[in-house]
Amino acid sequence: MPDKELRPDDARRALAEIGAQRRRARDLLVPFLARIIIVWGAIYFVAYGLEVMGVKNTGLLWLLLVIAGFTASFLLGGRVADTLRSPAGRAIRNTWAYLGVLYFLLLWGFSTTMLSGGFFSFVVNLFISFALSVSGDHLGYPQVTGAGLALALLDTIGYVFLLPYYPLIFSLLGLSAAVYGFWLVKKHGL
Amino acid sequence: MAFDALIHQPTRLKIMAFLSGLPAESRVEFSGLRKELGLTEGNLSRHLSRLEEAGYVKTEKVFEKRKPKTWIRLTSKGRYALEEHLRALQELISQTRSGES
Repeated sequence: MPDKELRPDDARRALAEIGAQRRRARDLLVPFLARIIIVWGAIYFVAYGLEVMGVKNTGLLWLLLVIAGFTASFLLGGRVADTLRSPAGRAIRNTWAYLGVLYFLLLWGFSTTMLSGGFFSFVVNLFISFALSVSGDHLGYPQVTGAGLALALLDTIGYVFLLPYYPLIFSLLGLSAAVYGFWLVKKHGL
Repeated sequence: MAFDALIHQPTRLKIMAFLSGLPAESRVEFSGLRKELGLTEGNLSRHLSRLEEAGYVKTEKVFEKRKPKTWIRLTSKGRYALEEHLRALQELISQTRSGES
């Protein structure tokens, strides 16, 4: 079709179609994103919520929840890799697997040096925010990358300036994230 | 900027645009693509062949759990051609706008 046959209205329609199809393709990744958000939101809400309520010795619960979180994130990355045969999925899966290894090394290091649990949470949350940003980058979702960086900033501000409220802040953050994840699920009818 | 008649055909435009919306180097399975785009098998096959002949997409036929599967991905040549086509469309619209004002 030569240029002269193409009318501006055709061009507009074609541009709209390109935009619509690209959005449709990107929506394929929403179920995975929504589930990662729900998993980590629920973990933060439950574990920090228990600390807010004054429950002592939540260490073992934390450990089990974080293992569940890393495993779920790793498996979700694997599903992206299988469904789309995407290198992004493999990269996400690997990132969360490496993070799992780092977490256990950290846990070992902290438990033998008896450093404060608050500092441990601060460091783990920095790692998680990093993994979130990297995952967003691989998936091409700048919002997720931004959320990861915002989490790192909140983590630092909470630890440095608002330490007594740190569990409350992260519990509420977890609740908001889980609600947002469920909203995504409902919006996209997943 | 290059208007690409091969890409501009409505069904092929859909296919190319959808594949370009996936993360880089991603592949999608034939039946999944057919379902997403609401096309018949024959229709999708025919247009994929045209795109593959032009080097815009690459298909890979494999057996997984004893079932034949076809994985499709956009090539870098295809991605470049779509971007050029997109620019040509935008250029046409902006020329029309400047002609009107």
